[in-house]
Amino acid sequence: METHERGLAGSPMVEIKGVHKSFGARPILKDISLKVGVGETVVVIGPSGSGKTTLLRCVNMLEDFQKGDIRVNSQPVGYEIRGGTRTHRSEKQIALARADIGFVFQSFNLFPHMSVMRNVTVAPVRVKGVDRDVARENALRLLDRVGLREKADAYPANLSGGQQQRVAIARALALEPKLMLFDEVTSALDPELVEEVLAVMTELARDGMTMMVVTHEMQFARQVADRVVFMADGAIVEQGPADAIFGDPRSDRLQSFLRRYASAGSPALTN
Amino acid sequence: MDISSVVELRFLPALMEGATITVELAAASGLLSLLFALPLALLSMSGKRLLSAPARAYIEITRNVPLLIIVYLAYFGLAVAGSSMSAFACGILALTLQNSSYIAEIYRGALQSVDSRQWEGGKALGMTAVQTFTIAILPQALLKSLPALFNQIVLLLKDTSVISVISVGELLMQSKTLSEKTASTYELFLMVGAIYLILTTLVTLTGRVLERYLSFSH
Amino acid sequence: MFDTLRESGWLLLEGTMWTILLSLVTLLLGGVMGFLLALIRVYGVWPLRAVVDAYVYVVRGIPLLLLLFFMYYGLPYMGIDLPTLPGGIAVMSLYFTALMCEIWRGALQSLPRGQLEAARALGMRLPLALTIILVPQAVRAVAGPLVNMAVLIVKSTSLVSIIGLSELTMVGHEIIERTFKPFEILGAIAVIYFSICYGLSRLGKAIEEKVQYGNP
Repeated sequence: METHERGLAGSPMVEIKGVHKSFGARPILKDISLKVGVGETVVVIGPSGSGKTTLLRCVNMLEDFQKGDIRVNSQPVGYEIRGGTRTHRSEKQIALARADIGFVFQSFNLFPHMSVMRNVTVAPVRVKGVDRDVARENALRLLDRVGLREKADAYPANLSGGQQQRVAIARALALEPKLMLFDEVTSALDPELVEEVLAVMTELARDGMTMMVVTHEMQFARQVADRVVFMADGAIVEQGPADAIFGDPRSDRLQSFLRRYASAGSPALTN
Repeated sequence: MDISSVVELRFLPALMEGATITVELAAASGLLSLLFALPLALLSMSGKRLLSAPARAYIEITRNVPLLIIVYLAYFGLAVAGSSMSAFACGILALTLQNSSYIAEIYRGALQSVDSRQWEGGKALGMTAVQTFTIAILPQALLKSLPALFNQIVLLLKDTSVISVISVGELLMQSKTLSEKTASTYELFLMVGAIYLILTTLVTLTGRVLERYLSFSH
Repeated sequence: MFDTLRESGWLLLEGTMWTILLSLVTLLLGGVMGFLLALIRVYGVWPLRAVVDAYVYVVRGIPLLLLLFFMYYGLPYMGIDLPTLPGGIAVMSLYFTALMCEIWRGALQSLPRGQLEAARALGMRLPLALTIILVPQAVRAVAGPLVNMAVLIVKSTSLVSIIGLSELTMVGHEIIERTFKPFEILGAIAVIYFSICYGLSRLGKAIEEKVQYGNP
């Protein structure tokens, strides 16, 4: 997996600046600013309602936001700032940007009427115009990577949750994205299936993929994160290396949050 | 264009009379169907073939034959039997024959959708099957069937228009007569459409209000 | 009794054929137009959605026979000279387009939101997402209700006999007027309608089972 850098050398892969989002009168994200470097794995933790999922979805414009700017690979995603004005980019431009960002959902969202192989190849072929045979080869390699090569012709309904999620990861990787976003991808899984998915993610991180992971899996965060970001009530409360966040939490909010997850590896509570 | 040029007031008396008969047809056959459909539904759900087969046959036959044919059959049937039943009553009969099937199916769906654990709960409390049914199951089923029932009433209101073929003076019959008599154009039919729309909207709204009211106090 | 039936048999067959033809045309026109309207209803912009909404609301609130009467009795007085057959087809299609719109809408909205989101996250735009992700799934969801709609259409075609269009019920009338044997004829007609409609509903059940996912 190559990670090219466009623009200035050393510029971050993700730049979130001053993002505000309200749902009607209710503020969901309050002045969020965050940078994610190339190859960095940032894990976002926090109580339900903290806005962490919303923030992730803003990065690839699955949600819009009222103020602020998000750039991925130095390119704006949802909004452009030209001159002084902030304009909503066109559907076409946003779709193009999304093709460079991989998103894995909590509920997998595999396409049930397509085989695993077709799920993985449909985007490269129909969105990026990759030749069908080339796409199939790449798909087989990706399925191999997630350990599901033999399931290429199976349908999602015949797979376990953990298998479906791994296919979803392969599907997201098929577009050769610069950034991977994981939205609580193990929260909907039975406990014994969580490990296989986390193993794939761990390997991805070690191979140098830039990742933003929203999760309740504290053990995973401790072991794999380059940086942990703690959010609460729509704001970033504390962030730092995993050892600092888990070993020496500064804020009261973080301390009380960690107390609830006292034992590392305890089953995740879903939002 | 002010409203008086569209609403031709001279039509109103006849149309109101027609609307009244429409409502009477729907109300009478509606009530009869609601009553008749319950035993029909219970029979169709019975474990005993002897009971369920005739019920199911009745339901399938009346559901899969056009209302118009049922109306004609009832009409000719009553004439041959020498009955002095009015066309109005014949219309109610035909509507009831078909509608009880639709409503029976609604009841059946609702009864089957009530959680089977409710039966266990009743047993655990020492209630007989009949008691469990009347106290626990039936009320829940009736509540669940309300949206579909109100929808069916709307369909029933619209179906009354078919009764016009046996010269019952309901709303559609009136519009046809008036149209031929007065050679009017779209105003007449617009008014008739509006009246139907008002009637069906009233039913739909009543249904929604009732649903909300009952689900709060539940 | 059976002599009557034998003589009228061919006429009844012809009437049945017209009924089936009219039903098919209505099903097709209504199904396609209803689908397009449902797309507007679910994915379109607000002004268009409101128009479709109003149309569906009005059509669902009035009897089909009223529309047929308007076409047959009302239009001539407005100076519109529309032959009954195309008029009948137009009215049937207009009516059932609204009903079809509702079942297509139900099918599209029954799809999990995540499907469109996943398609978008993969860089697909709405037209592509609709074509390869959403509509194929919607078709499976609509299959059952569509067959129910077909049964309704077949039954409704009987109403066009009232305005003089030839189909099974109309043919029945003509035979009864000649032979004065209402019950045999009506009975035969009832059997024919029943066969078609009951057959369709059994087909519908079979289709509903086949389109469940999880078949390897």
